[in-house]
Amino acid sequence: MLLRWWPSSFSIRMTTVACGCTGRVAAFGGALVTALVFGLLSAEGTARAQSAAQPGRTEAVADPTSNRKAGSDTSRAARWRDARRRKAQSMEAHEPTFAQRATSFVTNIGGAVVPHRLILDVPRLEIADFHPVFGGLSGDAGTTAGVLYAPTFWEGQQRLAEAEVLGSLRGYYGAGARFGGVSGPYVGYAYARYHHRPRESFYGVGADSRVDTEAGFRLDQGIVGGLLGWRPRSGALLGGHVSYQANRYGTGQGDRPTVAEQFGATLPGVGTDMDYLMLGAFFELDVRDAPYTRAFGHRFAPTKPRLRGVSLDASRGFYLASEVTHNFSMRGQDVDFTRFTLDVREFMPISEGLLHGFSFRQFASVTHSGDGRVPFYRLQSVGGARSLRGYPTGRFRDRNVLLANAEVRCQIWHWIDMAVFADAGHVFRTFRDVNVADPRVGYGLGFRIKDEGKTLGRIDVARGQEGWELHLDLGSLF
Amino acid sequence: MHRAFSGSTREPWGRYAGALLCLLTLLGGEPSPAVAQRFLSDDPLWHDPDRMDMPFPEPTPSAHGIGPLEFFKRSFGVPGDYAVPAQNINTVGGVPNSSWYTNRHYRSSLSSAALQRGPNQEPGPSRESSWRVVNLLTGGELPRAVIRDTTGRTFRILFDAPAHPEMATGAAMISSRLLHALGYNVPQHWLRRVRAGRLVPEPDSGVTQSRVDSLLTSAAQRPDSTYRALVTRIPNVERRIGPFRFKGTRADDGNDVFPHEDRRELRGLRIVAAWIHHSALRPRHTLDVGVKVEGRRFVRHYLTDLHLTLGSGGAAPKPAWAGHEHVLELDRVFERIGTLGLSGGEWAETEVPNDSTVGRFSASGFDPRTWRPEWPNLAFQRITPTDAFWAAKKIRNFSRKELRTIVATANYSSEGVSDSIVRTLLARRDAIGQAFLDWGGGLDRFSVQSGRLTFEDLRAAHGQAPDTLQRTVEWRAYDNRAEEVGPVLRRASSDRVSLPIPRYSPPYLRATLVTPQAGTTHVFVRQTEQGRASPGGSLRRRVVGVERTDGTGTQAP
Repeated sequence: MLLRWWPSSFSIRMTTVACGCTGRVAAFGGALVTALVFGLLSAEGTARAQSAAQPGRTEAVADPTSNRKAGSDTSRAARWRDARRRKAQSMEAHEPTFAQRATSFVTNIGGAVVPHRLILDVPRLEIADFHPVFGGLSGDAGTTAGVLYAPTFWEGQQRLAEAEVLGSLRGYYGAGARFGGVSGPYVGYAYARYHHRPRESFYGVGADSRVDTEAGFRLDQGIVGGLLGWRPRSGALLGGHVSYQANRYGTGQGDRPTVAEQFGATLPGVGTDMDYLMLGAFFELDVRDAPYTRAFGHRFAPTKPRLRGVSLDASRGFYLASEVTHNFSMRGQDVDFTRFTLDVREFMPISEGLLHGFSFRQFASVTHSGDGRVPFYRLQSVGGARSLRGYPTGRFRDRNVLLANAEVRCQIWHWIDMAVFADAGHVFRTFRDVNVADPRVGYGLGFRIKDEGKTLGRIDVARGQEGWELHLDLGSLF
Repeated sequence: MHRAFSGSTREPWGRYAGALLCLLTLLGGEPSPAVAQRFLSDDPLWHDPDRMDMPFPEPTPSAHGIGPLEFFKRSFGVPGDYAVPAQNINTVGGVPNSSWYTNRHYRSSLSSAALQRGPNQEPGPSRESSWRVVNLLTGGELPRAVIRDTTGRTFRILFDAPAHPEMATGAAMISSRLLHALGYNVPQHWLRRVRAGRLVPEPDSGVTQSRVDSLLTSAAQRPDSTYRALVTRIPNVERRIGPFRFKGTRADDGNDVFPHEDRRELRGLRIVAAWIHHSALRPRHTLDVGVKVEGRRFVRHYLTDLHLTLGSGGAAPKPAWAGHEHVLELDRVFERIGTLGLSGGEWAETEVPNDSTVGRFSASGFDPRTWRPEWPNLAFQRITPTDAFWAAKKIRNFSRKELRTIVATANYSSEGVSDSIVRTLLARRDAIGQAFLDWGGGLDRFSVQSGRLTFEDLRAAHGQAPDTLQRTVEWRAYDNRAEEVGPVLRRASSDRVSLPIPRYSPPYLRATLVTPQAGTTHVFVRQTEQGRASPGGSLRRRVVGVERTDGTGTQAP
């Protein structure tokens, strides 16, 4: 633009101005004539180049004192006004592009992740408080979606009411409902859930089970109950729960052998329905640097996946949850058992650049059944996205489990963390069977999508002694 | 008069050349109708006629912003030639008053009362009677609603998050006053203390009392059980149209003829946004509204969601990377993957206090040259040094007292919070001055008074340079039609901010002020009509053009 203000003739004049007086006059006059000629040409060219609607500040405009066009183009304001009049005559309706419409739609979607479920708020799709929900079925459900109903009259940070229906591409389906609230230091909620799991895997009992002995089975499981908790101090929760659980065993889908064919019909749980009354007590202490009330209603639950899946982002502090639950058989079978669990997580910051620090988790579960038996599908298990990541889901099962996870985490993008991890897990029937050489080990690399301190989802690629595993999951492991 | 100058002068040659130029000009007679000229009769224009009566554009989606392709293009595209001057400016480099912008605090100082009042033109919502909740707004992380007071006017209300009381509402109050004083259109902002019982659902609106109660449970409550509410309202709204973009023009708005990326106030907004740390600024935080004033319908352009400024990210403090990176910079991502986060995030190593009320707002690690918004936009990318100078001089103009006055409107419960914010604003203001006020030598406020060209040395005024700095001054005649300058009429050097204008008769003169190691400013003065008519050669002149460059002089005859 600057060059347009200083015509090319100007530089010629500048080089000759140092001559004598006559030379100066001649040069100056020549330069002026040249400037006028160039100015004329420039003016015409500029006028042609001007768009019909955009006035330029330096464009060729008429001398306001001239009589070029009486009453028009005499001022800059008039020029700018004329441009607007011209545009007004050729205006067209604004039509957002497809990309703009899509962007608008996507950016209006809100959502929340509770452990292993992603609940969306889609303004244009929400009808009478219904929300799309992804995830939420346990086991080998695979890609899961459904509808969640959360009545707005009961919404709020201190209360919860929701019901959902879910289905997966692998034929799993289920329904559930939760209703609860917080009053001062007390928390309580009721829950009911039914899951149909037709493609569950079982590889046998014990650490020596082989992957090529995989059998399939179906499990329909329903649970209904309630939980009461008391918060003696910030970050601590003490309480108990009571539930009734019904388990229906069946033949699994697919061409895998049945559990009975592979491991015999005498295996506890095979071919029989089992109902349990579950009475439990728990204690939880959370002193991580993550907001304590973020996941109300899901911070503690007597069901295994939720206990393991508290999805909060922390870089400092520790979390401890312990639970004891006694399972009474309600059908007179000799399958009562008591289970103790301890879940401890430590977070050690490094604060070096974007390297968050180390995260550790130790999980132990001990099952006591006296001389009684435990249904194979109620045995503790390791393997899969939420425990031992170098192995498939439920790869190792037995009464007792020891599991350790270690991660070093760093932020690679504003909404993505990377983790390098190593896992070690062991299952055993009695403590006499524990062998330090037995634990199965896996290691790998993972990426976590995060927003506002929560892990929305993660991708873990892990290598175990039996090969590579790729896990996609909602929520964090720990 | 001449004692003000030192060094060489060329008075005889200049007088000769001036006379010659006048002669040639006279010989030229009446100008040809097609001759171009730089300065028109109404220059410098201070009122853009962009409020002509036009049909309102159709509303666009609220989140209407850049598409994914545009985003990737701006994030990863090779920068083009952005050294294009802004288009909506007048000949002295100012931005005329328009539906986008109004010259306020810098052009003439606003009083303390005016700074405190900010954009508020109307009385706020009634303090006594109940507010009927018309709608609960679900977008955003903070509890928000639309209310109607007893006068029938609607307002938007917003509450702080429980973990960060006063953070979002305070930021909005301060930034609304700052942006208003700087000339931008912002909604009216009030702070109110309300009790829960004051909010009642509007009959037949679909809002229930339980939903109103639920809204308040997610809001920060004060020790006296009241809630601190930020109340906003845009006056005279006939139609909410939607956000404006930082690129192109609206095809359905006849008044919108300057591409937005070439509007100086939008380019300069990058510097303003850096000052108040409005890193979240993007189209969804703007709003076009159709207004009707004196029978004319036109679009007015607002900056909204000011609770996302200063250290506030809304419900939580701003993330540490805000202001340092765009949302996606792949080279940094790969660097972090390769080094396990040990490299690729220098901002993470800067300790920025993270106060629960202030949020993350500090002068530590602040570099206005490299500051950038989270979402890239074309207007910010096209900023030139001249645009930055324009914004910086207005920001640097705020005094400590004025900033204290404005920060006081946030009514923080802690004096320490107010002090901290004032200190940070001052430090960031100074950093902006250091970064951008050198352009053209840092000279501004040119005018002709009593036959002398007067101006202000902004760098000296703000303590960035000594006021004894010698600058070269060179006078030439200027041919407005040919857009050419004549020979040097006078050359001198001076440390004064008041220079005598040579006594020559050409209608236009150009003064070139060269400040060593800073830049050059060309000032064009025109003989006014009154001056021409006055007998006895008493010339009356006024400044009609200012042009700044970073060179140390464009010509040296």
